[in-house]
Amino acid sequence: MTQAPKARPSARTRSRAAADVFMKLLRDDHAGLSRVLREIDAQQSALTSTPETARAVLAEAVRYLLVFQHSIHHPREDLLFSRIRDREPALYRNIRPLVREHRIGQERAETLAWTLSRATPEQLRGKLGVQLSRQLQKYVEKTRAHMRREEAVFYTGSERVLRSSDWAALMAGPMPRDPAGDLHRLAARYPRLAARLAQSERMVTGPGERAPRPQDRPGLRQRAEHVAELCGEVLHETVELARRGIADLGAVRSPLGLARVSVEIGTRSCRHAAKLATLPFRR
Amino acid sequence: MTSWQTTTASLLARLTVKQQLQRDVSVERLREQIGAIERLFPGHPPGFMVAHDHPLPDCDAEWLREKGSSTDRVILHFPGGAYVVRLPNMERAMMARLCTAANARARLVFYRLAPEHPFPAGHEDSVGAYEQLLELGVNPERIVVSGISAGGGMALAVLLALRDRGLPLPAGAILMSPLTDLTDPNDGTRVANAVRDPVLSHKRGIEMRAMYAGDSPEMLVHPWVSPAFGDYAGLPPLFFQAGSTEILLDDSRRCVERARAAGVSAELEVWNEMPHGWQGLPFIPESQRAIEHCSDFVRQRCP
Repeated sequence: MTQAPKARPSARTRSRAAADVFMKLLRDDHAGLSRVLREIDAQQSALTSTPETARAVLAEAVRYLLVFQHSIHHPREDLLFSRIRDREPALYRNIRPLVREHRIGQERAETLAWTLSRATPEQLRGKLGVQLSRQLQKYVEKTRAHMRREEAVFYTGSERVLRSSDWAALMAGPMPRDPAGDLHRLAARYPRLAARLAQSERMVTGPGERAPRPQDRPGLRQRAEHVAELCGEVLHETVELARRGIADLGAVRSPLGLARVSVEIGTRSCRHAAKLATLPFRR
Repeated sequence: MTSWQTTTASLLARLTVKQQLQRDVSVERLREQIGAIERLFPGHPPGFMVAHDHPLPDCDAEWLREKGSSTDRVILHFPGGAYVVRLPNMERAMMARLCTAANARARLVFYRLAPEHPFPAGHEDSVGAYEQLLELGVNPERIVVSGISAGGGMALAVLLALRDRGLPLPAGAILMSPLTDLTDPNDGTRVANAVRDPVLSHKRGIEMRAMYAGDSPEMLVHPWVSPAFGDYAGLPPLFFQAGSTEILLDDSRRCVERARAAGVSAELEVWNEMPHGWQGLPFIPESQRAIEHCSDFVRQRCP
């Protein structure tokens, strides 16, 4: 029996497949970057309180940004942008700010890396640490916003505009994968960052805040919380008592009824006062 | 340092919400009192479209999408409220911020509440909402399920049910301070954080859980009721957030332990001194920060 020859994929199908592969690569780069940005944000707030550990992780995270995101991922996107410019200048007008953001982002990351490498732990505990923490936070915010814009502007537009020859050209060069997509690969080059990402539980603190330790004794804050808890309880019981008293008085229809309600309200109030007086001892 | 907004919100919650939750009041009264918080939030998040397309047979559900945005990422969200109360405006406002940050659209499922509709009504509604997304042609790899408080427990219970039924699973799950153990254990953070937690109280836990799942011990340890007892093998990556002073902190810890033991990627972010449900309070800076972390997870799972 003779088999019907397999139909060769059309140029359109091949183009579509290449587009899918290339766009998936870009999307995967964003996935890795998002994971690392989350860690940078968690570490920047610990920079002034635990500078030794935070700096070690942040230095590797920023190096990852420079080595992969700024040196491989952004040039990859810039190539795509240049193809779009040739095919549809109108779409490129929306993309142009993104190219500028790539350059500015790289400059910011270089400055961060330089400052992180030179600062001493003592300096990081002080004003420099606060400044650096803010710069890192700003970098994270700007990069997230940049990714959002990229998704909105060219994720769908490029597949519509580019032709099969464009995708073939984009796919021609080497296609290194983002190491952040695989913790084992990441650990080979960025061991502290990878170790941190592999942890099951991570503490996120506010700026300059130290993570609480088990040996910490209850502080003033906890005592204040306890007092607030008591005050809340008293307040609610008092409001409830007053509400009941008003409702009872509203239901009075005779002088005898008024006398009975007055006695009841008096008794309840005395009982409540006694409860309040003994509350701290019962706790 | 914890922001002054968080400190103020925690104090107010301690003086109001926590007191209401530990008092012996009817469900109607509780809904009325807790519902007063709703006035802080707009019914319709500015810049968003709320659509009621694709209704579910037994409960309300809605689509939330930023005007002018086009995205194929879907966050299937289950609201919180101990399975008996609900704050739809607050949930909608929180999801609007998450949708903006993650460039996604959200499907909010207002599953039926106890005591009028005890388990498994709400669970069936929630599983049905996911199945409907599949029927509508949404790629499961572009879906992240999420939930806050009891909604977080519901999200986990839905994942376990989907896995048990052999349905394609979503790309990941965001669990914000989930309630995952209805046996109300008398140890760990349920006890250690009883005073420190500014929102939740341990006192009416037994009564609340009875409304949802009854008193049968077998029922309370069923993984679709208390996902902390589930087998997590085969589930997608899980991302937990909880405050360090919450009574529910150990609920997340136990799930993360079980998930990792089963070879599932799971991580917990413990936010220092954050009150239960802080992600839903837009006026505190840590809320937006936590939402951005969730959006990073969405982008990581649905690039």
